[in-house]
Amino acid sequence: MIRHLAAALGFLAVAALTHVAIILGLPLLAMHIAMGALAREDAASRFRAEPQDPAAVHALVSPNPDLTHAVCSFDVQARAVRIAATLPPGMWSLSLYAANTDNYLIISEDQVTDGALEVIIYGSNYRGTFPATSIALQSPSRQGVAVLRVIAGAGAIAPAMAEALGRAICEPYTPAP
Amino acid sequence: MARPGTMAIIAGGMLAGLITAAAALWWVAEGASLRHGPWRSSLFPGVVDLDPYSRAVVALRGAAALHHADAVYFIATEDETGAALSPRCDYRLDGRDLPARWWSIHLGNQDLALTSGGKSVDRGSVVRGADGAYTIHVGPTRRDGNWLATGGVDGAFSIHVHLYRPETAAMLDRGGPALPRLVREGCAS
Repeated sequence: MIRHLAAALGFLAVAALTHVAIILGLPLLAMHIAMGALAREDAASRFRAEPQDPAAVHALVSPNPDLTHAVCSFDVQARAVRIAATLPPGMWSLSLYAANTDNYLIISEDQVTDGALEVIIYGSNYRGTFPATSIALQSPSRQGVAVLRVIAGAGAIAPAMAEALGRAICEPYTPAP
Repeated sequence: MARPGTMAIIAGGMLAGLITAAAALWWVAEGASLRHGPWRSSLFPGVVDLDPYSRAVVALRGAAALHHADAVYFIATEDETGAALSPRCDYRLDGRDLPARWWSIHLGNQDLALTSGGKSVDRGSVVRGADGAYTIHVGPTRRDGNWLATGGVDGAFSIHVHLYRPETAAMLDRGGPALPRLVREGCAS
């Protein structure tokens, strides 16, 4: 009797642990795979527009002919990260994702002046200052992903927008002395 | 080394955990679906502080999903009668401008992935009538005006409506946004 009860409890404990591990682990695994793909695409701490390996983007977003992406993975443990771009008129957005896939920031063209975007993301150990013109915020996780999206419209992205996307910056931030 | 009985308990427990996790994710995904006639969508993506199940559903759909303030996608895999969309049939989408700054309509495969190189109709390219209404033909039969060809499509397919910067009020309206009617016109025998 006791042996059967112990077996049932053991079965339930393993089932519960497996269930919780799958639910909590899926988002972390998905982002881990995406960041690994971005690292292979040389998109760690730099924006990469139109990666050569579609899997690098597909791990993050579903393929969509309406959108053009530039993607960058970053780590704020050692240094803050600066994201900057100057985008021509058009529909675009910058989304920041934490390691658990939470979309903790979204900025679109309506929220900046003259298409000038500057965001600084820092870790909990950061003690420096930021330029008054930038948007600064603490990353909820050590690692994360930035996705700059342009809604192409009419099937083709404007050359000026494509060029601006290619010039977008995602780099370690150096505070002014 | 574990006894066979112990191994069976562990294996059975893991299998039960896997099955219950899959069932829970399916249930959560279904519960979060918006349904308007043949169109289905989800408002999950791009939100912080989701519960763990919703976050896992989002992760399965793409780790960096678009925020629903940026875009909402609706997908139809059936016509208004509930019959699966077939490449042997001609369909008609009747509608007006959708409640968004930009919208587009694409064909996808039965796995709901957009077909590469497929044609699309969007807010800028759609041919409208004098009253602003449009009809988009979907099917194998060549048509003038708005036509999304299903030639070369194998098996069932899907129709995708993308709303970019959707009007929040339209999304939250009890009746949902005014999406196109999806009518089957006829099928080749």
